[in-house]
Amino acid sequence: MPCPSDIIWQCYLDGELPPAQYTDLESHLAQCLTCSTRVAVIREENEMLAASLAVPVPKDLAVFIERRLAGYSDRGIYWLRFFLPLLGLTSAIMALGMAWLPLLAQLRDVLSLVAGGNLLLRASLEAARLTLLLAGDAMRGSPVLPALTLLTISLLLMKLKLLKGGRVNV
Amino acid sequence: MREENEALFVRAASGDLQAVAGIATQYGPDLFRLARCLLNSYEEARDAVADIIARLCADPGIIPSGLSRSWLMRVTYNHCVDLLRRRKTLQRLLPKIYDRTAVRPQPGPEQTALKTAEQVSVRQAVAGLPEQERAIVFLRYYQGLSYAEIAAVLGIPGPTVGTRLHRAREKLRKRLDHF
Repeated sequence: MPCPSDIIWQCYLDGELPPAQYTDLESHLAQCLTCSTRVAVIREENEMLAASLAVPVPKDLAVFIERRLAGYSDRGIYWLRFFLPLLGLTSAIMALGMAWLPLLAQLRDVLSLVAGGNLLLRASLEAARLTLLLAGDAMRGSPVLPALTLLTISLLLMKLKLLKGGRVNV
Repeated sequence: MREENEALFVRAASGDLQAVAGIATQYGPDLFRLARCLLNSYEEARDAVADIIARLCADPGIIPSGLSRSWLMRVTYNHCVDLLRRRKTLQRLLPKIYDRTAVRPQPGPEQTALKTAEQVSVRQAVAGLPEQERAIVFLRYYQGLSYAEIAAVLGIPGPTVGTRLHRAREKLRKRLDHF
């Protein structure tokens, strides 16, 4: 058996190899001085890393959490993290509708002529069409539909990100 | 077990200080050490962990069924990566404000715990690694997580953990001749 590489020895020491490989590696280790020295060095490195990364935990962590918790309330969280951005986005769409709607509609028409069979471009144009539709509604003084659409999109995104590990919420 | 954990967060949200202390004792150390390793700052790590636990207490409904250490680690990792990203954006866009507000690494209480100069240089070398490699080294060699658990925390494939760990060790060896 040729001498295994460092990554194999690292996995060997970390206990991450299939059980069948351990017998071969152990018998090789018993015969090969170079590898047994190498494994000893890697083991020493592991111990050094563990010792160096030791960090004492702050004794006042609970006090900090209590203080931080005092700054939270359900109402505050929803207002700051949800309705405020929603309000901002609705306002942005209304502003977009008022100022740029005719120009964007023309641009969309020109782009749809050159889009042809490009699926990605067509999908982008459909998204732009929906945005313009919402902006049109907002401009006509009916912000309910844009607000409801944004609410649904936000809720879906929050749910998706929560499933992935809660980046949005925490 | 899940009900007990969730009840602990609900009690903490309703102002039960004993529950807050229970959470800090049960989950605080693991989360703090990971945050400290990623953020390279004692104070920022303490604030980050306080923020995470406070948010979980304030909104216990977001805790998934089968609350695990891996999930909490993942939440901490994501939160720290967000903080680092914000830090980088601020540094790029508003360097003057960043310089004024940036936390300077100062000898914190943990410096006294480091026994030798060698340990200090190893810690500095680890701090110089990219954030994901730093997290992998920490989760493997300090927290003792398996490659599969690390993969779950970081959201990467299992075999990638071994490769990135090896790459990180190579970098550490280059930085520390004696390592």
